[in-house]
Amino acid sequence: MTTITQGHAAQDHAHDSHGPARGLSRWLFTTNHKDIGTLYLLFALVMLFVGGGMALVIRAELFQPGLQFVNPEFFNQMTTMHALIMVFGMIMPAFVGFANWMIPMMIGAPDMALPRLNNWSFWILPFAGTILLSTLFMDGGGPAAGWTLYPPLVLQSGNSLAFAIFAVHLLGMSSILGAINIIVTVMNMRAPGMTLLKMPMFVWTWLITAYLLILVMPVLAGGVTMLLTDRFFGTSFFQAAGGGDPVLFQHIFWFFGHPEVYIIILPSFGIISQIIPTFSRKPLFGYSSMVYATAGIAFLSCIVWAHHMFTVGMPLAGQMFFMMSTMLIAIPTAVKVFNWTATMWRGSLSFETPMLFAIAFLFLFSIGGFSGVMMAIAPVDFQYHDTYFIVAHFHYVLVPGALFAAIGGAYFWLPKWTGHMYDETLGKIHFWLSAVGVNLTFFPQHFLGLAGMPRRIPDYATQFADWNAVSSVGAFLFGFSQLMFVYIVVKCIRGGKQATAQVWDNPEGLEWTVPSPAPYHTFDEAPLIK
Amino acid sequence: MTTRQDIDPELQRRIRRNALMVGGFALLIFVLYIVAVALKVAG
Repeated sequence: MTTITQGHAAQDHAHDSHGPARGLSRWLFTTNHKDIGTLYLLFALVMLFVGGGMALVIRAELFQPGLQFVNPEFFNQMTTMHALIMVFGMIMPAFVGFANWMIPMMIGAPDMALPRLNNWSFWILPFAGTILLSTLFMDGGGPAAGWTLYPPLVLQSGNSLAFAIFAVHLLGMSSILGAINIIVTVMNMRAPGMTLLKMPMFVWTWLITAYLLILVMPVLAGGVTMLLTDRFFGTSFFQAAGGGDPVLFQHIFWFFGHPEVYIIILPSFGIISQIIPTFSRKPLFGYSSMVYATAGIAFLSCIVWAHHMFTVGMPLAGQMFFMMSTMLIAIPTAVKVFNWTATMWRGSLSFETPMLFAIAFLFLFSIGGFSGVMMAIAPVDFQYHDTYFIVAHFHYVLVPGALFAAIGGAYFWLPKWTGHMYDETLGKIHFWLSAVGVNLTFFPQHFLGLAGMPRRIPDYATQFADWNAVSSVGAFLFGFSQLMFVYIVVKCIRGGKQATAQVWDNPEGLEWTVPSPAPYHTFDEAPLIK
Repeated sequence: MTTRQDIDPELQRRIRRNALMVGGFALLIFVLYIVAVALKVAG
């Protein structure tokens, strides 16, 4: 990738006569990609603590056998809402926030292609989140059938299901509108000379993610719409009593659900691909193979969905197909891990906080990847299915995977966003507390799962007590150490050492050619890329 | 070359066309899935 600017006009503020509006209206009516990116990131941070609080309720209850704090119905609501909030309310908006902030700056565009749509995409979210959370206070409580919303169990929910489904519709709509904006921006707004194969990896991963979103989000919307009509309008899409097929819902859900995993992890890959070369002081190894690997992962993610449902009793040929196709994903993923490692090889490495999070991502995401390959083996999956081994697996992918990438990305670009360097010492302490906490929380869950502890239960046999206690201690350590992240971010916004335009040691990319903090309007005139 | 002050009408048309195409595709998938499931269940 080459992004060398020729006499760019990024610092030309002659036309910046209109800065941000003042007060609340700036945030309500803004069409500026940086403001909207900030809103997305703040919303995600708030939701991290809302969903994290639910996780701590779960871990407090599971600290020891027996029922301690909450009744089983509320426990089930917590597992369901924790997942919905974290997936749709936290991690996806966080990456859309990064996309909003960085993509226009990385491709030399003045803003997103559809700025008003961008504003709308964000402002749907707080309403959707509020509707979803409000279900907890309704008669019968919130949805409690798991985030997968499987019928027939979910069809026994109270009236709050209608609100939950409406919230999922809104969250999905926001994602689709965001994806439209990203695709249109990348395809139409690149600076002259910024060919597709010169785009930074973060932009590539987001472009492919946006196509995935367009492909699978409407499928989820269709699935939950049918659930809604089954529950409230007497249809029988998924009700066996009326001739419907409950397993069909599982197919529909996972046709969305598995690509959803990659919708979350591909932008993480993009962020890691920006961080590692910067702190290795080398260009990314195998750039074009990274692009093709990303596209390969996206394609494969659409043909593996039934590995989530080996136990429903599918034909042997189906099991073989989904087992093999799932294992194939390990190949492009290994290409990526190899390329990151090769980028570091003989590089002039330094270990600032973003790099620490990136290296931890490499190791810990790989653990999640390996346990994924284990579960792809159909006969073995019969043993793991619905145990804590699954919980350990997907949390390794999503927490030290996606969340670490997001936190690492935040540290990486905070100086560009705020104009100040964050406190490096505190950042490193935050990293080590998080790294220890996350492993204490999730590694023992592998043992619990292999020993047969089922997921989504508020009570368990005493043989599982020790590792559950360890896991809960780790969860509280991890959860409370994130308060430190908030402190570091607030401190960085309020002041600190002035950041230079480059911030880091000779980083690559257009975003580092504009001053820090990035001006409210960048690239009034498109930069030229050699 | 596009600047914020002077937005190329052709680029605007292209952006609008692209957005409608991508959004229309999403809508099509939504409808097709419901129709497909309805046909499967009815059959």
